[in-house]
Amino acid sequence: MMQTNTVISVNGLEKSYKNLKVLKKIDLTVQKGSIFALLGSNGAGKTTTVKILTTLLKPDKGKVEICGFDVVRQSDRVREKISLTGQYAAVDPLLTGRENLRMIGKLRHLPDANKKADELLEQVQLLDAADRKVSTYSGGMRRRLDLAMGLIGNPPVIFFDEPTTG
Amino acid sequence: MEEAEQLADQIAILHEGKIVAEGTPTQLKKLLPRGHIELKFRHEQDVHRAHDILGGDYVNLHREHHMLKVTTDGSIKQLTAILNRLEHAGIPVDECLQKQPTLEDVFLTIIGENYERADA
Repeated sequence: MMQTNTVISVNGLEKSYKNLKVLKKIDLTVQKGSIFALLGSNGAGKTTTVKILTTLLKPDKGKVEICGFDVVRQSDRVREKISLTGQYAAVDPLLTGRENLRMIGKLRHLPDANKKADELLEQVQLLDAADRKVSTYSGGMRRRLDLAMGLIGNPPVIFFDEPTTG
Repeated sequence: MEEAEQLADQIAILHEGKIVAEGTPTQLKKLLPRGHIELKFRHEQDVHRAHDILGGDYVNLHREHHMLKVTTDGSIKQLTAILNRLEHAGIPVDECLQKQPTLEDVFLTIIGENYERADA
C-alpha cells in the first residue's frame, strides 16, 4: 500500500532503445510538497525518465505511479495530475499570450480559466504583452509564458526538464 | 547545478542509467569530506614561499594571484598545522577561508569514480 504523502513512486524502472540500455533499474520516491532534482550529464537518462513519468514513453519494466495512478494503465488519470515544462518552449506562436494560457486553462476544465490566466500573466510579468502574438515575444518572454502554462490549474506534480534553457 | 543546490530538498544523481547517489544537498556534500582552504597573502613572493613550504606535504596546491588553494580533509587539525607552519616560516597570512565542497565537486567526483569502476 502506498503512503499518501508519496506523489511519485518508481520501482525497478528499465528502458532500452533497441539494444541500448538507457535506464537500468531506477528506484525513486518523491514526497508531496518537496522539490526533487534529478542530475546527470548528457545522455545519463534524465529526459527518458521524465518522459516515462509523464506518460510520453512506455517503460519496458518496472512500476511507476504518480499520485497512486499507474503511468501505463491509468495514463489519463496521471495526465490530470501533472504538468510538464520541457527543454523547448511549447507555446503557440500564432496565439497571444493570454489566448495560450486560456486554452490550457480550458483544456484543464478550470471553471475560472480566464481569471487564472490573467493572474498568471501578472505573476510572470507578461500583462503588458498579453494581447500580442507570441511570435513577437523574445526568448525569455516565451520561457515565462511556458512556465505559466505549466502552473495553471495548480497540478499536484510539476515536471521541469531543463526549464531554464535559453 | 546551483539551482539544484539552492532549491532542491532531495537530489538524485543519474549516471549511465543508474541512480548512483541520492540525498539532501547537505547529505550529498558530506559524501565528499574534503574541502579546501584559501590562503591570501599581501605579497606575491609570499605566495611562492608558502607554496614551496607546503608543497611537500599537501599535494594539491593551486596558486592564483595573491592566493593559494590547499585541498585538505576539512579538519581544524590540518588547518592549524598549515597556519602554524606558515607562522614558523614568518610568512604573514592576510586572510584564511575554509571552503566546503560544492554540489558540482560532489557530482564530478561521483561521476568520475563511476567511470573508473566501469574501466576496472
